[in-house]
Amino acid sequence: MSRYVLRRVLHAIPALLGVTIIVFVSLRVMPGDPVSIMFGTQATKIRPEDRAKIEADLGLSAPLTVQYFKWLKDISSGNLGKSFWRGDTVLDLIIQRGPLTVEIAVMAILLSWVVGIPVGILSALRQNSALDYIARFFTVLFLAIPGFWLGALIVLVLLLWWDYAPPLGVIDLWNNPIKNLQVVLGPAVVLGLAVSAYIARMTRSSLLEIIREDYIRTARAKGLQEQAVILKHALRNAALPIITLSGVLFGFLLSGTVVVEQAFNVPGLGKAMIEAFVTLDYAVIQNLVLLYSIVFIVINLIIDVSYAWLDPRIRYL
Amino acid sequence: MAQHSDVQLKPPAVLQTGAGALARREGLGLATFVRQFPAGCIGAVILVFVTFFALAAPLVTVHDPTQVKLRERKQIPSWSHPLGTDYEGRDILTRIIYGGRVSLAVSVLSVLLGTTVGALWGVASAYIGGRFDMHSQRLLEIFMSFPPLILAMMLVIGMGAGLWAVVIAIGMTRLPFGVRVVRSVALSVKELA
Repeated sequence: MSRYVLRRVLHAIPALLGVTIIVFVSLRVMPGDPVSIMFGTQATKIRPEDRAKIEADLGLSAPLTVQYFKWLKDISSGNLGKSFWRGDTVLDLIIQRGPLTVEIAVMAILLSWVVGIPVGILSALRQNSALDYIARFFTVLFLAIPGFWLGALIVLVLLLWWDYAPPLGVIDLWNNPIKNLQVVLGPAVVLGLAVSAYIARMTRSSLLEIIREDYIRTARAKGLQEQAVILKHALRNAALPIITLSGVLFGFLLSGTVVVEQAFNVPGLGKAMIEAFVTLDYAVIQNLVLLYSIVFIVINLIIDVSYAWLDPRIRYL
Repeated sequence: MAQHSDVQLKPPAVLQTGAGALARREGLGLATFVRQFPAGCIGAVILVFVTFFALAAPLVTVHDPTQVKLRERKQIPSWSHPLGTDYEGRDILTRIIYGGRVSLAVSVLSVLLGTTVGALWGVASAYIGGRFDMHSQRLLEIFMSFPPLILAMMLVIGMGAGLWAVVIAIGMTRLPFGVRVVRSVALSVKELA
């Protein structure tokens, strides 16, 4: 297994290089250029020599290959460069906004397990009962409700009925945990409910298939308690797609959930990414995409290793 | 030589679930099906309803969905405009019905695309395994690094606007779910053989 993990880490290097090439090239071929966007409607009035000076300041005047290798050199020495628009560096941006996004993602995934897995299990064990119908009604409902709408609704209800608005801005978890939780809770609940719906449906369908297997009948026949049959034998084998789905969803939650952040006005990474994309802030987009690729590579590795632990027949060679 | 037993072997009830088996057991028929799966039938009726109006849009509407009539702007619901008109005087009901065409086409096609490609990729990755799995999964990781919204925007910018660009862009954002989940199940099923 450790050899497999080592091979995965080695194979991550070309994947990361691939990400850098794709993001670099796709940004450069995209229509529009950052300097024109900066000056908006006045862009045509910039004198060519001024434009050249600004481009040189932003590091955009060198040939593309030189720019690319300079970026690689910078990130390998830990320098993520500066945002074109903000005064701060990309590293500052990640340190400032990253924790909020990580908190929201972790809470949403935990909530989705706490809610989604039990609902899915009950739904599968009492298939086509009233309980199953109610569970399925709510899971489909939460899949269908757009997050930004539910988010806006929560914000409005709190504001109009209780005259309460969550605090704005970036608040550190360690300095002011209560205020921080007020910021994070709303988006975490909205996202968590949506993710729970995915998890509940996946748990239900996966478990429905497993509980018809021979070895479950054997486990029941040898007199095991129902609880042990379901939790130890059935759920363990049904867990593969659930864990996988959780991993993919967790990765996407970490890479930012723009619309929900927008609804709650939380300054997370998703919002930073969209702002950067609209203004073609190359340095921010490039480094955030690279960060997300590392996140996904790590998550996928953990999940693939967990397969072998959950189902020992799966071995990677 | 197979021995025939007098006792009729009946498969246990648990094995006979799902719509098909139930319909067979209860004797085919729509009425039985409706009784057994009321929720599914309500969903089917809604889907048929929406699909019908989307397909028959020019036949069931009298207004033009895009023609601007400034004289009739921001009207409240009336007989000629059951849901009123928008700020440019366009009939809102007509626009919903025509919008349904696009939504339906995009959602069906993009899910079909994303899930089909995802399932094939996932099964291939798990079944072939080894080097193919290693490389194709790293390729998927490159793909996943772009947040769905950004990926979709890049694809639409690259391919130009239009229905197919949107279908492909949304389909691609579904891909990771299909590939990863199908691969995980296929890995486990492969070991049963």
